[in-house]
Amino acid sequence: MRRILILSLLTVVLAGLARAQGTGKGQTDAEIEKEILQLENERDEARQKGDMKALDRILADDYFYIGVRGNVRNKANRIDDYEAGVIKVYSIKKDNFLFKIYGDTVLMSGRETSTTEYRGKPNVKPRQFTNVYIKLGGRWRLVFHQATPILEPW
Amino acid sequence: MRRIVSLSLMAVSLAGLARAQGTGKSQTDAEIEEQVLKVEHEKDQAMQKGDVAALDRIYGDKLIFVNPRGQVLSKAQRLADVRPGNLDYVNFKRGDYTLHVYGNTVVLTGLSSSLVHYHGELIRTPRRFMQVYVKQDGQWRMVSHHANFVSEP
Repeated sequence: MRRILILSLLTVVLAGLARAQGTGKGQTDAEIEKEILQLENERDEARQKGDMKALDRILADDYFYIGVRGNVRNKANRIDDYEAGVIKVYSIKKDNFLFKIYGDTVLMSGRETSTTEYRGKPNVKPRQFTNVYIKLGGRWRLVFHQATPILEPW
Repeated sequence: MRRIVSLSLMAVSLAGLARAQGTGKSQTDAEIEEQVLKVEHEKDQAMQKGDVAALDRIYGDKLIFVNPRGQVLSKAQRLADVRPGNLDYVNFKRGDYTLHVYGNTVVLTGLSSSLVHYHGELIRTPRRFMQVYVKQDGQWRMVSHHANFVSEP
């Protein structure tokens, strides 16, 4: 009887572990969205302050992004831009968020109307962005970002 | 002794199951890339043919599709969009793929220089795109697409 009880408990515990690792369902979607929004706010604050340490923590090591001109750049490029003062972020405004959660992967979409400057050119046009956050080593990290200027619809 | 061996075996196999579900590491990244590229090419074929049934199978139900004008489309809106008359390819050219594998999630980027009629407009400008594939019930499905026109840096 005791053996059966131990086996049952072990099965339940390990099956629960399997499920939690596979889908991230240890948390509700609402809790995950809240965590991602908080991290996104930390990233935005770091962008404004030029806080490279915070950006380094939030961006995954193999982070890459597609810029508004369709160029592909990586984490080192991005950090270099901030350190060299090539990119400046004066104010940040984001809204229209959409979250799609797939276990340890979160797709975040939204509209950004921040005021920024890149190589001396101001950018105030609204952009539609996609962020891909993935839980790596127990921490949410931004692995990909893409932003597109919003034009007249087709 | 026999009991200990049984318990250990069960623990090892269930822990293995947990690991496999969490990271998809029962396959190598190269194998995953090959599978995702295969689905990507099936999708490309379906787009050229206006094969809505195939796209319905490949697109995830919660698809977020951002076109190069920054419009956000749902799966239903995108499927309505790819019908002949709305979207007609003059030629189809895609390449320069990169894939980043994170277990059951793959971020794929590429360059499209296809010539296409879209809503009555001939689009010649190359587009840099990103797609996220997620494995759901054993099948890779495209859950996100985002494209930008490529312009002078």
